[in-house]
Amino acid sequence: MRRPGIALIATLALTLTFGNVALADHVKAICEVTATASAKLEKGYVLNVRLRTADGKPVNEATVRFYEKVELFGDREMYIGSATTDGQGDTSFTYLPARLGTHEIVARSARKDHFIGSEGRTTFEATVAARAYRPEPAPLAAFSAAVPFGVGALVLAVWALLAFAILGTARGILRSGRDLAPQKEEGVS
Amino acid sequence: MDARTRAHYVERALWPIGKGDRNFWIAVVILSATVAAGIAAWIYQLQNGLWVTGLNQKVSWGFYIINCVFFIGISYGGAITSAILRLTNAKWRAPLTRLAEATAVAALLVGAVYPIIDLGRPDRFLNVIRYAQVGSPIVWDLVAIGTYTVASFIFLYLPLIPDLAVAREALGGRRRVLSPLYRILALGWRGTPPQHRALARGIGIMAVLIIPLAVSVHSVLAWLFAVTVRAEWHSTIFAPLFVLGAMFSGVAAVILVIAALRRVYGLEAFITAKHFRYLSYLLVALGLAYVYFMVSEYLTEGYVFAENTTPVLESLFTGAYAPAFWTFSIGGLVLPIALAAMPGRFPIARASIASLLVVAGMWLKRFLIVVPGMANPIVPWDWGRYQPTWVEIAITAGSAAAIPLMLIVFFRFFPVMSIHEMDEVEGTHEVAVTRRAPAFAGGED
Repeated sequence: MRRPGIALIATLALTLTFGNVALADHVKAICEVTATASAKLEKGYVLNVRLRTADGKPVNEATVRFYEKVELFGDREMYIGSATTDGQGDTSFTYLPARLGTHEIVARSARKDHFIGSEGRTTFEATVAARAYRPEPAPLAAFSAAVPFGVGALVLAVWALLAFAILGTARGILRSGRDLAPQKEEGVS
Repeated sequence: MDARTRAHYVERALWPIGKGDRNFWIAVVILSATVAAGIAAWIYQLQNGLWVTGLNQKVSWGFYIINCVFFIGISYGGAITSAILRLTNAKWRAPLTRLAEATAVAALLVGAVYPIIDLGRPDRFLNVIRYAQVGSPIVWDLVAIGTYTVASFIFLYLPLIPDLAVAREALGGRRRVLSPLYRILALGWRGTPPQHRALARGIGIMAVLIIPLAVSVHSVLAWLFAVTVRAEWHSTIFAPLFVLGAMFSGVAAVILVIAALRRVYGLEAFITAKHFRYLSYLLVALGLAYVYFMVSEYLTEGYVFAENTTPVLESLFTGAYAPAFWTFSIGGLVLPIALAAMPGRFPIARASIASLLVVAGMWLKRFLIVVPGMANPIVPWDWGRYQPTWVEIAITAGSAAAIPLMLIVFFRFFPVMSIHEMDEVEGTHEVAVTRRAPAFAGGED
């Protein structure tokens, strides 16, 4: 009973010792994000990222991924693009949102070498947005547009035939029955 | 047909009306209980949502869509059997047409309910109408099924008119409750030549119209699948394959109904082995045509082995769905065709067993169309899984029981065989028409 207890304590001690050493090797990067309007406003907004260590050293060649917080069957992050930091630890990404209003952006740097990944957030108010997507007309679009009307006309013709079948038959039977009504009722055949 | 035989025929045709013997009530209780269980399961699903079914994000079509296609297919078979027999002026059709037409209506009513059950929220069904998209096959599916339902009722009702007059006279005061109903529905039928002409014209129009209507219903159902980009469904042969499958299973279902009700209502003298032989020939012809279409589909796809179709074909031939596929191919196609085509003794038993195999096999085939086609992902995901729950099984059993229940209740009020048609084909009743009705209208050619 005592041996497993000793083994567990030994494992915990080793993990804490070497784990702390391993973590101590890694440096946490600080990710600062700002959003500014692009020089040409119609191009959207520039999301600037500055990735530094706590003592101000730049983290270069790090990939930063950008996400926008959206509401789609619950809160989600929509991936919008990525950029790599330069020698100064800076990078930027131009983003033209799809709608006007408030946008919350998350920039997230991945773990790289001895730098631990980090994230930063910013919010900006969009006054320009991408134009609504308008697909190109499909091939044979004019023909396709006319097809439902053709089919609709066919359906109406079928309904007219159905009405004729039931009402015409009923009318024929009733009229003949009325003509015979004054006469003595004959046997039914 | 001599007067005695005709009297016997009329007596048998009218026999079930108002008859409520012990067997009838036992059947009604058992079938009603099964239907009630199905309705209870549906209410449970309404209360708890679709998660109580085996449907899921990857396989969102299961038993309900399979049943929709299956039962509407059976309906199509009933309608087409009657229409073909009328158009070809088959003399032997008289005792069968009513049974086929009633089966068509009963199966259609069951099949048409399934899209609503599949929705989960029946109130959202109205959205199909409120926000109708004319380019959507679902809208046209609604139009096609609606039109076909009305047509099926008219096709059942028109040949019934003279028989209602006969029933009114024959039953007299015995069925006081039914007499006013018969009087209204018989439209004052007295069998005059103008009435015969009007009726022949109406039935003729319906017999011609019901075939393209039924074809359109099943084609639109097929296009619901075929116009998607799913590997197994996106096929140009799907519409004709669905139509043929519907005819095949429908004729089999009609044979089963005829075989069962023939015994229940004592129609053995009029529905004989000859009828089953002829219907078996029809079944064999449709079965062989279906085999040809199916081989053509799989050969075309299998020879190319396109990247997206390969997983489905592999799953069908050698993979997870192979047992079901080969059970269908052998048990639902080869074996029943051989049974029905075989000459010799016990034609009724052979036709019935073959039909039972075909009906079961064609349900399985619809499963093999719907589920693997949907389980095969169109994005790089794992295959979907589908396992029906007791809710789906109970609803399926309830709906299957609803068809015989509707039939026996219907024949408790209306003649089980067409008297007018028998008079017409046997010539006992001389139809004094000034201008003969054409062959397609049921007249002599």
